[in-house]
Order: sequence, then C-alpha cells, then structure tokens
Amino acid sequence: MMNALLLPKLFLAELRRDVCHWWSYRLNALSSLGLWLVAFPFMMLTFDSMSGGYGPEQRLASLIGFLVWELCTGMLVATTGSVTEEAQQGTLENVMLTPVSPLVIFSLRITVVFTRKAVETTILGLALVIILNLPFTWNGPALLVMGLTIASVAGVGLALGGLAMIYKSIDSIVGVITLLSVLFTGALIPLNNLGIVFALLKYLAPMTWGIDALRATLVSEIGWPSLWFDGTLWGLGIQAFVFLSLGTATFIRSFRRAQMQGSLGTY
Amino acid sequence: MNNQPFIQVSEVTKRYPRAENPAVNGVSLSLHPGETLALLGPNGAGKTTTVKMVAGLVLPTSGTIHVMGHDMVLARAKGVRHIGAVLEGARNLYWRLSALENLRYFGNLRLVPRRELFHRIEELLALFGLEAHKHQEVRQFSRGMQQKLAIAAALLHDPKILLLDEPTLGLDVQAAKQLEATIAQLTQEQEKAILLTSHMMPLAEKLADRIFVIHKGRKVASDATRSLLERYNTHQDIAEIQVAGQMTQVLIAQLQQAFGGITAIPNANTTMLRWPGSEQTQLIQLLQFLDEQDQAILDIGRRQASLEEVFLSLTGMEQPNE
Repeated sequence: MMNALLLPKLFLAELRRDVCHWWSYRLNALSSLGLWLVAFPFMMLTFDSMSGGYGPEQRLASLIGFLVWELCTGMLVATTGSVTEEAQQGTLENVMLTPVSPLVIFSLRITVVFTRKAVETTILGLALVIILNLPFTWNGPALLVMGLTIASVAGVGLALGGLAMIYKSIDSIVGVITLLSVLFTGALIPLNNLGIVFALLKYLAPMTWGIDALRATLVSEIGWPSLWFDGTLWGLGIQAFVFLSLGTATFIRSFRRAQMQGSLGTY
Repeated sequence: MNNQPFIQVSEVTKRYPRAENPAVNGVSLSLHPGETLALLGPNGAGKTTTVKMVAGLVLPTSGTIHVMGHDMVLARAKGVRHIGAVLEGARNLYWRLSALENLRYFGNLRLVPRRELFHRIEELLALFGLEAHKHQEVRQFSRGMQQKLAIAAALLHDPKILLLDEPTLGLDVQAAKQLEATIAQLTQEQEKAILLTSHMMPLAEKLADRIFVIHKGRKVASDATRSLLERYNTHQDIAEIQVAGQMTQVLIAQLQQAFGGITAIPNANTTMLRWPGSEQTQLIQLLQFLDEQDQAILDIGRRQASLEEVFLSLTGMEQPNE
C-alpha cells in the first residue's frame, strides 16, 4: 500500500504540471473567460426581453446554475480529454509506469483540475456578479451542497476517464453530453416545474439536484434544518456515494481492460 | 553473471481481442544483471507487446512475467519500481513543459525523495548534456535531445532495469550514434540491465550481449550475439559479384531460377549479385553462366554475414535494395 503521506507530494506534482500546461495555453483560458463575460450578460438581456421581466433573483438563479455547469463540465471535459490526448501522445503509458496506483493518480488529477477550474470559475463568477449587479453571498449549507455535487461529478469523471482508456471516441461523446447538460441540468433555466421529469433528472444527472439545492440555499436562503428534513442533504450524500463508488469501480475495471487491449498507448 | 534473472518471461502468449493471430506466442526469455538483451524482429513481430508486458502496461493472455521476482500481473506496483522505460512513441514527455519540469514531475511520480530528486536531476542533465537547455520547452528540442531526455526521465529513480523500445527510431545518424554511446555508458558504468528493441542491427550488434529474434510472435533464435553471428556465419558466407551495367529483368529471373537464393541489387552503372551460403563449385557454375551471357565481371568477393543479414535470413525477409 502506498504511504498516505505521499499524497500531498503527488498532488503538488500534478498541480505543478497542470499549471505549467495551463500557462502554455493561457490564451485559450483567457478567451473562454472573455467569451462568457460577454455571452452571459447578453443571455440575461435576451431572457429579460423574452419574458418581459427577468429580475435579479432569476438572474442569480441562472448564474448559480451556469457557474456549477461551467465548473463541473469543465472538469469532465478536461479530465477525459487529457486521457485521450495522453494515450495518443504516449505520455499516459509513461505516467502509468509508477508504483502509485492509477486510481490514485487519476483521482489526484481530477482534484487538480477541479482546483484550477474552481479558481477560474470563481473569477468568472465574481466578475459576472459585479457586471450584473447581483446580491450574492456564500453560506455554509451552500458549501456542503457544492461539495456533494462536486463529489458526484468526480465519480462521473472517474468513470469517463476510465472509459476513455478503452474507447478513445469518448472525448467527443463527452462534448455532446456537456452541451446537452445545459438543458437537462436546468443550468440556465430552473426545471422545477417539470414534475416527474425533474424528479428523474434529479436522481440520474448529478448536477441537476445540486444546482436546484444551491439555488434554494443561495437565492431562497433555505438553511440547514430545511435541507436536512426535506432529505436534500441525505439525497445528495447518497448520490455522491453511489456515483463515486460506481466511478471507482468503472475506472478499475476499465484500467484492467485497457491493459488487456493494450489501449493505454494508441500512438 | 548472477543466476537470478532481473526479468523472467515464461511461456507468455498475448492475444489481443478480435485479433486473428496472437501478437506473442509462447515466448520465454530472461534478462540478467548487467546484461543487454536485444529483441529483434520485423514490424508486428511482437517486440513492443513483449516490452509492454514486461512493464505491466499490457496483460499477458497466458504465461508469467516476473520482474525482480515480482509477478507483473499480481504485484505490478512492486515490479515497476525497478523499471525505467522509454517506449516507442516519440512523445514520452510533456512537450509543453520544460525539461526540468518534466524531470521534476516524473521524479515525483516515481517517488524519488525530494532531496535526492534535485541532485539526481542535475546529475542526469549533466550526463546527457542537457543542462543548458533545462528551462527550454521540450517541443523546442531536436528529436535526439527529446530521446535523451526521455531516457533521463526513465533513469530518475535509478532503476535496475531499462526498457528501450526502438530508442533510435527517427533519429539522424549522428544523434543515433550519440545515443548508442550513452546506452553503452549506462551498461558499462551503471551496470543497468537493458532490454532493447531495435530495427538498427548495428546498434544491437554493438550493444547487446544477447540477441533474441522474434517473428510473428514466436522465438526464431536466441543466443549470445557473438555465438549467433558465428553460428550463422559458418552457413551464411555471402558471395558478392559485381557485374558491369544494369541487368535485364529477364536475365535476373533466369539467374534466380538457376541459382536459388541469389539476389540482384541494381546500382547506378553496375549490378551487385549476392548469394548467401553458396558453395565453391556453385560459384564457378554461376561465373560460367555470367560469362555465357556476356556479363563483364568487375569484382568477386566473399564476406561474412552481418547481423542484419542473419536477421533477414532468420525471419525469411528479403534484403532491401541499396
């Protein structure tokens, strides 16, 4: 078993590599930031003109959904994309030539990507709050809801990362899922009125429930007791556990299968 | 040499899903401390699959692989500690990162203690003559420099075993020679056990203590390099006859029909006839035949087969035109 004390060292190594890589492509990140700084306020203006009154509360609800979507899908795209890219370039095999378990390496990579994306999303979020002049404050329940949502998405990331070692085309499928998820997670427009459809999406898509709960805590300012007694925290906790377990199992099986197929390197 | 092999491959077969034939079929080999073993074979022979199975990156369908006594299927993490590898892909490293950042990253990943890592990086950069370029991004490196850095990265944790899959692939002659000298230095000074695959026969001939020829996934020959050459030299002396002018295809066909195994290699103003394993009397018959066909013989010679020709003969492949 690997010494747990090595985890911070490995995390820092991954973080350093990721930051160096990000710096090399910094223009891409900056242009994406610029794009949303223009596109999101424009979307809000469009919604306003269509609905004849899209007030600060609705805008804040949309912004919360959008930021969670941006953070989570960004994390998924970056992690699965890196597996496909590195398998084609040959670095994935070199990375796997270590006594550290592939699951540990990949989990650290997801954590690193999340850390970087969290910084990017925070900057974007703060800028949009200022531009749109929205009343925005964080609170404890929101932080916990966010953590549980991220854990569920990390589970999906583990599964997709594992599958990317076997199926190199998963990268493009993730791209499609990412775009579709704007709709079925209710990232921009809340889906609460969809009844059974919303209930289904809540349980199946890891972001949908999280976004809804975050809106409840940050916009409607629902506190701990309500979240506890209406089953939201329990539900999100169970969801995170299920997705993380499934993700871990899929990753381990996929790695083994990639070793069988010899698909860790496809250059 | 020590009797305990660093690598022990026993009756290993690898059949990829949906592949018609096994990539590796019942191969057994061993690598001992301080030894260099060259795995030779044409494209698709199973060399890379064998190396990747030794590294634990590909699982065998049957058979066992032990590295320093650790089963690479059941205890991969323990075995891989002793392995440094440069695999076939041209991009073993992160091209957008500097040489130093690459070495730092892979050193940490291979669990080299922090204090040691700094010293080790400096040592390896000096060994490969890359100190002046350590802050440069790898994508700005020449192919030779990239390959040297890839080997440096493989040596960070001071492994006992080095796996080199086609280390000179894509390198120009000068870079290949430099790399050859570096590999020789690693075996002589650092006593690494090296398993290398290559298409470059002179590289294998110079560096390898033993040669393992693999073709269509199966072992074709395995012996000490000198013994292999000597063994095949006795059977494979090559007669070379240089004839003036370019021979017609009809005449070449007649020659090949009458004298089995002969090859004609057209050059600018001459044709070189090569006949491996020909007896003296057969050679006289060939000369008579050429005389009857009014072919002017410029030169006749006999020489011993090179490893490349032994390899081509063993794998049943044809000598490429020069």
